[in-house]
Amino acid sequence: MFRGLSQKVYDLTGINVYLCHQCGICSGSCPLVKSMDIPPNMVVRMVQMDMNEVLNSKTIWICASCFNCTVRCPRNIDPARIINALRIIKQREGVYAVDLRKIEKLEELPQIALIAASRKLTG
Amino acid sequence: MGEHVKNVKMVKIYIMGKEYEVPEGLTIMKAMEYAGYRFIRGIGCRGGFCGACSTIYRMKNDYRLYTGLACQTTVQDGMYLVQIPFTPAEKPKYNVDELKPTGTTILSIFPEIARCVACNACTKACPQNLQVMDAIQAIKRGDLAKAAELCFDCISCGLCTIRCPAEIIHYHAFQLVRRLYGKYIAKKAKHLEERVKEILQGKYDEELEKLAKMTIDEWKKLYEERDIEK
Amino acid sequence: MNGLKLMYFPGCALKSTAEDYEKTAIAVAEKLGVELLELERWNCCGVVFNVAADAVMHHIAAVRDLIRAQEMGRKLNDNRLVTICSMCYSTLKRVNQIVKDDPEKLRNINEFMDEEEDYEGNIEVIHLLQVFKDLVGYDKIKEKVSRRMEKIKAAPFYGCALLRPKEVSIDDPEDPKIMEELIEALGAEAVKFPYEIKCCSSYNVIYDRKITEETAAEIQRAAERWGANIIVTTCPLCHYNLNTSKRKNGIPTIYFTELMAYAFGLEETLSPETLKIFNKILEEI
Repeated sequence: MFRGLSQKVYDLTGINVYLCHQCGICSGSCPLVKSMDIPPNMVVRMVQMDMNEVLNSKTIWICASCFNCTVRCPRNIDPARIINALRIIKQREGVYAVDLRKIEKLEELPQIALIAASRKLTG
Repeated sequence: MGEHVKNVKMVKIYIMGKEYEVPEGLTIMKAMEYAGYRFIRGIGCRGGFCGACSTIYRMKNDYRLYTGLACQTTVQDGMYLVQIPFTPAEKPKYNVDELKPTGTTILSIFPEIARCVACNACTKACPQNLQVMDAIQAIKRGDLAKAAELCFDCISCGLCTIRCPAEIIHYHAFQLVRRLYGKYIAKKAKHLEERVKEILQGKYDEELEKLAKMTIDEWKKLYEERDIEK
Repeated sequence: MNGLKLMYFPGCALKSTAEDYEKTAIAVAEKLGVELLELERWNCCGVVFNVAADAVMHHIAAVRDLIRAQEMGRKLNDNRLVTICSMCYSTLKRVNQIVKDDPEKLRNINEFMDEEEDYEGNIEVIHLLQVFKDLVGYDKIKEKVSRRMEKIKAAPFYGCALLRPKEVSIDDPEDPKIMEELIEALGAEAVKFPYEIKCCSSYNVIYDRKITEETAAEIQRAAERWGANIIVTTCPLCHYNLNTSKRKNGIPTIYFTELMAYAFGLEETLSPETLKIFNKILEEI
């Protein structure tokens, strides 16, 4: 049933992406959707179609895993986990989405910001 | 290499994969020299203090990776070893006078410390048995005094750094911690400050000039006739 | 509930950049008869819960802390671990859940950490808000209020870590009440507003600071429109992010324990900036 990208996402999360019927609640609930290039429901659609371009989107790095989409998804699919799985695929290839040594105003940030950024955005 | 002395037990070790028979009881460093290796790097004080001769090794039928200093660790039968003379890292330039003694200072120069996953590989690798992970964690939370205390005996051998999956450069970070601690946090030695002041004021100039003009025989006499507590 | 001793996990931020949060939390808890004892040895929890099904290494930091709690819990004869920072709450609780549900993974982690005792999965992670609600009770909190607070209109900001995902939520993820009840017990007015459960944008303050500034401005504006003159949070990152809003005269954000400390008359635990915030609100009215 799964090939390519949908298979990889299944291996990492156990989620059957084909359960998504594109209702759009996830994109409607996402607090950061305005800054994303591909909204959450479209990301899931692209995984259903095994479109690897979704791995080059900004969305997978911006998603802060707030899980708003997950608590509201009517089919309990967990879009946040799907988006994070795509990010983890990129991470495991060794992609670093931020240069830790070029962060502005590091001295005033609470450590949480730096540690979360390094865990999410560096390999 | 000359005849084996009678009754000396020999052990088999593997230096970079090649088998050698060396006398039991030698340190790894002496054993390698016995086997014909000549050190021009990765060697220093031979006394366990300079951190130059970092070695990693495995034992037969054991997957575990062990670490040690070549000048302090004795060879064992079935040892597979290699040296790590240098763990690469660029020392960052900073001016201690311009830095604040806080954890965020260290994190802004070494932000990779935030990547620490507490896997403890560094502590397991340390040949001085320091609590390396705890020192890094202390830096993360801004407790420089604790970090300085934990890394005091660090000899900068680099074994923790080469094992770290988060690519942290422990020995450079620790050096900065100790510098900031010594400059800003540790109590000042009042008697040292006073003595330096006395020297600058010239209190000892006359005696020093007298000493400078003496001959070596006069020095020897002065030394032999000095006051000794009985 | 006099003399209740509970072990707590501070987390990296509380020990340096969010010292005020810890100071006020410990003082307020003490006033209510709860002694918070810091774990004797701990490490950063890791902050981000790795959702990959095969993730093991990224759970190690949190499990190590749970082992520390296990060691100290034995001495205290109490297996409850209190967290104050909500990100630490979320991470520790979720890792705890996943190793309890997956014994294979727990065994893998225990075998990797061969220098530690095995984690047996019997620690319960709770948040300070739950301590105040369930173990202390709002009546006791009302008793300790020594100041008139009705001029303070506090908008509770939950953020995401306390309420989502559902399995670790301390309240209803869509319609939480726990912070409102606490604010009202203090005598202040609780201003419920629709963005109270929004995400502050988390580490995007590093990835693209503009995203955070816009989100903070949105949340601030909403709270003001619903009548608040102060926002109250539980997370050092929400606190920092909400204060990055560049709007002029935007309402300030403080920690909920700072509000409690002010209500209990414990001004000595508050920083001068926070005191100024309270004084400004009270003199403007």
